[in-house]
Amino acid sequence: MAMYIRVKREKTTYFIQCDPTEKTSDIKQKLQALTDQPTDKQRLTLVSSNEILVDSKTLAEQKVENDAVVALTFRKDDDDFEEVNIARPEDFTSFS
Amino acid sequence: MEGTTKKAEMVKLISAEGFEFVIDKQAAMVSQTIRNMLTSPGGFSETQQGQVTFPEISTHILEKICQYFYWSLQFASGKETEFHIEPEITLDLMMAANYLHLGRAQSIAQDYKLRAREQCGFFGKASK
Repeated sequence: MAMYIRVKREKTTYFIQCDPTEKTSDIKQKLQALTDQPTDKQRLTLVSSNEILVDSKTLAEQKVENDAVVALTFRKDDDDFEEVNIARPEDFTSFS
Repeated sequence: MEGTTKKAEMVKLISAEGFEFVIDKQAAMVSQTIRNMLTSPGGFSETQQGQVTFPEISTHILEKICQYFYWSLQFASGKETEFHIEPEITLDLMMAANYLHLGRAQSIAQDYKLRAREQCGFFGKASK
């Protein structure tokens, strides 16, 4: 396994195995299998730089490295993308 | 060779706060405990659903455990990097690693704990 990235949306994290030479579109294909959202309704944002990843570019070109955190957002019905939303565990701590 | 990322090849691990980590079954199987849950015939409902809930493991620790699984696969395939553990989570991580039968993770955490005591070091090496 060359590397993996952590794709996050709300309370879910997908660990995706990938290679630096793969394109953003390849990652979206893998996410389609897991989220049932077509690739054109997905947007990926590298969290550390807040850069939106471009389909035709490779992960290496966009400085997406091993263990990187990438936010996943979906296109809404009105054609805009939803805001980046990654839940934090601190907000869900149980009272015990 | 890259993973195929089919749903059937993935499992979902759920933390105490209800956060979900979707990881490759191959990675999850690094844990003997999870391997037993996923492979034992009929015994666990986890076998059918492909998901395991850990009410005792917090989100932060469970994510670290998942990172450990992948690090472990990379390490096994010859990519020898260090596994970084924040000093404040070593104890919780050790307990989780013990429960999940991750011998090496436990000893890495232990190393960190000892070293942190000695010199407040932040980096350690994998130990067998």
